[in-house]
Formats: sequence, C-alpha cells, structure tokens
Amino acid sequence: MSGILRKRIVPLVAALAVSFGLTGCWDIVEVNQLAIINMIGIDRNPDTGNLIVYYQAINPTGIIAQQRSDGKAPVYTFKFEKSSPAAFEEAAAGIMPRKLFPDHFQAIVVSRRLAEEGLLDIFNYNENKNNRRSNVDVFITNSPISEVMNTYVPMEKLPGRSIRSTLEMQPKFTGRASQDAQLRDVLEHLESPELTVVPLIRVDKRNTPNVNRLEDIRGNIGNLMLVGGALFRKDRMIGELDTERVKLFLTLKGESRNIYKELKIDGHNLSIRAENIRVKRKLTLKDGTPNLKLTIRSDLALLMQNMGLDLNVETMNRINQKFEQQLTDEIVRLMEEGKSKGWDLLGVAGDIQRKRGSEWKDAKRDEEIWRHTKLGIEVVCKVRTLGTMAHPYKGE
Amino acid sequence: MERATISQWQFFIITLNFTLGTTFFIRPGVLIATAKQDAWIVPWWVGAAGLATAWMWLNLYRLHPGRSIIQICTSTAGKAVGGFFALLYAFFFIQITAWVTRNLGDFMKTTLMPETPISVFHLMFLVIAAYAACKGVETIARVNESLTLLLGFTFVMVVLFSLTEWEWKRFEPALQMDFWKTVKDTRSLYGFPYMEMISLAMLFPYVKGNPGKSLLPGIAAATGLLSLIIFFTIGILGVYRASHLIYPLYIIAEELRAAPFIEHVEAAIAVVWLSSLFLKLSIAFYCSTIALCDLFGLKNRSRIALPLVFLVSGLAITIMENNVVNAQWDMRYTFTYFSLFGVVFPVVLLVWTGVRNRFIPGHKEGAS
Repeated sequence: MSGILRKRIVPLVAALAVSFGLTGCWDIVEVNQLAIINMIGIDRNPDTGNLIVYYQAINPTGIIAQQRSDGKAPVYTFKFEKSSPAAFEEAAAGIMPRKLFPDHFQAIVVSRRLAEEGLLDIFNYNENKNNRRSNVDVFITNSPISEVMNTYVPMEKLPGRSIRSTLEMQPKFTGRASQDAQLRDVLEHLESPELTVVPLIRVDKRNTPNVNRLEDIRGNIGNLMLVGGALFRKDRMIGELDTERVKLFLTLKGESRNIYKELKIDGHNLSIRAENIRVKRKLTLKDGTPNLKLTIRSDLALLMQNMGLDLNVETMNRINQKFEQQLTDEIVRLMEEGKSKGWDLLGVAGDIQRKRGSEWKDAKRDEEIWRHTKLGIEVVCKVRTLGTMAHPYKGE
Repeated sequence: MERATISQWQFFIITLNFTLGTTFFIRPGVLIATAKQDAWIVPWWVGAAGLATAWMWLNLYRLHPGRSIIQICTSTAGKAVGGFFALLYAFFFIQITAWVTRNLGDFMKTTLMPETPISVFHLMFLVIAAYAACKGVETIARVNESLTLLLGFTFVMVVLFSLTEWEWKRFEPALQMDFWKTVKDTRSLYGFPYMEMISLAMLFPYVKGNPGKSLLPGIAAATGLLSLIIFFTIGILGVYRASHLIYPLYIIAEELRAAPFIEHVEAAIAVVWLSSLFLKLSIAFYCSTIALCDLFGLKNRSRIALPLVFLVSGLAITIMENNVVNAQWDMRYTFTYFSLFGVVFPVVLLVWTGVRNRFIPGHKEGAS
C-alpha cells in the first residue's frame, strides 16, 4: 500500500470504527427523560371489560425532598384503561411527559375480582417483554385498587418499596408470607395442581391521596397492611386464607421456618415462636389410597409465659405436648377445611404427580384422589430458648 | 496456508468455546421442552455420538496429515469433483457463520437493545471477527484462552447466587422419558452443535501434534458443561418456565438477586457472555475465510475477510425470518442437513481414500 493511500485509508477506517460507538444511541436511555415506575396496579372495569392499569411513577424531586421532609410528593399515580395490556405504553405516552420505564418496578397489585377471573393474559404479556422481571412481588387486594394506588405510606415513602420490604420481613420473623410468592412462582405452577399463596393486602380506610399524610404521626392511618393470603390454582385466585392458615400452609410447604403461636395451658396464655421448622413428607399408596405421613420437627422459643408455674422440666414437657397437640389439630382442621372447599392445601396432588413407578399410574389420572388421603402427623418439638428469666415473677 | 501453530491446550479451549458458544444460550430451552426434567441427560448420548463422529474425522485427517478438510476434498477427489465438495463445505462454513451472527443479533435485539437495527450488531461483531481472522489462528487462540476464564467465572457466580431458588423437586419424577422418542425429538442437537464442529477440521493442520488429543476431550468437556447448564436451568427455573423461554439462562441472570441491593445485573453478565458468542463467531469466520483461501489458492486472507463480512451480514438477515421459522427448520432439517457435512461427506472421502490407497499403486496419502 502506498504511503498516500495509507494516509487516507487509515483515518477513514479509524473514523468508521469510532462511529460504531454511536450505535448505542438507538437504545439510549436518559434518566431525566424516564418515568421510573415503582408499583403497578391492575384491575378490570366490570362495565366495559377493559383492563385498568395504574402506574405509580417516582417523582425524582420528591425523593430528594424526602431527605428534607418538606412534603413533596414522592410518587404520582397515572391511570389508564385499555382493552389489551400491550396498549398501555402507548396510552401512557399521551399523558406522561416522560418515557414509561417499568424495568425496576417493585410490586404488582392486582384487584381481587381480576385475580378471580384469571391472569393468564397479563402473565403472557409480562413474560414476553424484554424489560420485564418475574421476580417481582405480587399482591392481591381486597380494597378498591384505586385506593391502594392512591395511598401515601409512612417510613418508606415509595409504596412499592414499602410493601416489598414488609413482605421480605415475614419469612424470617412471622411466617405470614413466603419469599416464594413472586410472579415467577405463580408462573411455575400454571400447569401443575399445586396451590400458591400470594399475599393479600388492604388499605386502611382512612387513607388519603394527599402528601400531607406523610406529616401525620399516626403510622397506622391510611397504611397498606398484610391481611392474609390469596390462594391461587394455576392463574386464578380460588380463595382466601387468613393469616394463621397462611402460616400453616407455608410451614407445611417448607416455605416458612419460623411461626409465632399462642398456646393456652390451664387457662393461662403462652407466646411461643417455633423456629427452624423442618417438615418431612412421606407419601405412600396403600390399596389405592394415598397415605401422607408428616413429620414436623421444631425448636421452640418461649417469648412470654403467664402460667404462674416455675420453669422446670415438667413445665417444659407440658409446653412441648401442648404445642405438638395444637399444631396437629390445626393441620387436621386445615386439611378438612380444604377438602370441603375443594382445595388441596397439603399439596398431595402435586406430590402424586411427582411420583415414579407404575403403581402411581392410576392415582396420577384421578384428579380427586387427594381428597381420600389418610393423614398421619408426628410433631416433635423441644423448648430451646427461654429468655433471660429463670422463673417468672408471681407477685405473691 | 498460514504458517502458524496452536498448542493442544489452545485447541482444546477453541473446541470447548466453539461447541458451547450459542449452544448454551439457545439449546437448553428447546431440550427442556422436549425431555422435561430429564433433559440434562440428553447431551450425554448426543455427545457420545458426536465423539464417535469426531473420531471418524480424525481418522480421515490421519490419512491426509497436514491438510484441511478443503484440501482433503480436492486432493482425494480431484479438482472437479473434490472442488465441488470443497465448495459445498466452504458454503456450509459461511452458513454456520451466518447462523452464529444471526443468533447473536437476535439475542441482542430481543433482550438488551431492542431499538437498534439488527444489522448493526451483525456488522460490528463481524468486523471484529474479520480483524481476528486477518490476524490469524494464533491470535484467535490466545483470545480464547484469555476470555474463557472470565466466562467460567461469570457462569459460576451466576449459578452460585441463583442457588437460593434451587428446588430438587423440579427433577421429579426422574427418568420418565420415552427414550427412543426423546432420541428422535432431540436429534437436531447432534447437528447443532456437534456436526458443525467439522469446521474445526480446517484448524487440524495448525495443531501441534495430534489434534485428536484436544478435540475429543474438548467435545467431552463441552458435553459435560452443556449437561450441567441444563441441570442448573431446571433446578433454578423449573421445567415449565424454562421450556417456555427462548433464553432461559439469560432469564436466570435477569432475575438474579445476590442481595437486596445487588440486582438488575443482567446487562453486565450478558456482555461477558456475549464474548462467548464472539469467540464462536471469530472461529467460524476464520474457518470460512481459510476455506475460501484454500479452495481458490489465495494467500492474503484479508482479501477474503472483508467481502465476507458483507456476505455473512446479508446472509444472516435472510437466513431466517424469525425465531419461530428457525425453530421449525431446526426441528425438521438440522439433523439431516448437518449430517451431510458431518457424516456423509467424510465417510465418502474415507472410502474414496481407502479405495485409492488400495487399488492405485504408489498412492498412499498418509505417507506423503
């Protein structure tokens, strides 16, 4: 190559190579031009049959103001109504001055009526999007969705982050919700008979869509609260469990390792936390009937006792026995209640589908066989933690 | 022919990356959809078949030492018939390069940068691949060596952080597949990636010593890793979700949450994994370039590499309309079409060589 040619070609190639760096401009994302969505609410209009979506967008100046507590709105809620989930981004472009950016949203709240209809269309739309995430927490609400989405909450000023943080605490401290209650967990069971529990929330009736609420000292007012669990079979909500039943359901599924319980011995109250709960399930088939043997082991922590008794070995044994009996009764009751409503709360049908061997062939075909399950329960627990008192004060 | 040599270790790494690049992104979802929770077993028997086929290529090479597959065609069957075979091979290698390019473009367009025209990805990667091809096989081998460690590290980190999602029950009930039906339904895995490794026969002459000593372990290691990737995908994502997704491994990275404040790291991970696709592309591109050079007796690779960028870029756009068409083509024709180049032609060349060595006096290729 001659010197002159080299002098012309090298800069040309270099310029071309540098211009490659500009190709990212097609997908450029300017933070200042984005409406960062923190929480999404979904409902269906019963009159038109259209979907209603609420986007809760973060107000950047409101977040900065948060540090100074000068009361600026941390989020704004936008409402749209369209026939298809795919139409909302276009609708949003007509009113929001920034580009909709749902990549980092923290929670989806779905109205109970829509959850009962089924969420398959929404799941499919979400899973197909390149910027979606299915490890997002899903909540079902008994309250009108407009109230949930138009509520400012204290402490964590972003409502999405607030309910997500509340949920994340539960498996460790109360067992009232599972970490496996995300969108992907519901998706995974779309073809299986297994039931999933999704947190159920409601909003305090005294809620206000005004940011002045953030200046109110009363934390309960207008707050979002966890009130139980929405039971899902495939893509549809089929029922509701109260908090105690949610704890039990999650414990038996192995998704909750700690639960808080109140016992009564001789008319006296005791507060117990069952910790490190291990559940062993053994399903066998006897004369065509499933036999489920549950072995539950746990360590107990005595949080408070008002029995008027000294703490000795005999008292410990009575506490152990009471807890074992109470848990056994609750499990039997849960199973019976489930049967009466057609809910396989012990997950027997799912266990049967995962069984190998020709002897399970007929059982796998019979969708109702779980109803005939014979249940055997063994609870083994020991009080391990007592607190810092050797004996309770008796005041005598 | 380029005067260069690569070590056994380098060829092992090249084999590993060529087999796994694009495969680990695309194949797990398809295999899990077919073989469900037993999908991780499928690579073992397909890999065994791949090893047997590679052993046959090595035997062919043993009869024609120091020659690439293109040169073997022309030296065995003559300029006319052998040249025709060689031309088909050259076209096949270009086609593989176009497929890899398109897979790469589709991945970028679908997951990371949906607004950018797909041709931009194609051209950008191809220009670098062409540069690598001009620099030669030693450069490509060294790049392979240096990037593989990073790839392995990223993969291990993603798996470790995702293990919180692991559930053994996702593998139950195990070993339930209808074996022969699964063999039939997963036969395309034999075509892609195992049969397309015939491209590596272009590199045999550059390997110091016996290429079989690194080719066969490379295929075996890639098979083990592919099986492991599928195993992790099932354990972390579950059969149902993984079988509905095009890039299940990317979804694992996308949903990874190492800690409450470490999430949304998929772009960083994908960029590292993209280098794996690039490694495969650069090897495929190099093989295509030297195939054309060998066929037409050209010495300057850059004269082939530059036009090839545009040819492959165009082919990558037209080779398939979309992923659905590609999946259907793959299911129906990959096994047959790839076997033509991976099995039928090499067998013909082996027989041809055997017959000539036996019946034409003084014509012993192996002794030349």
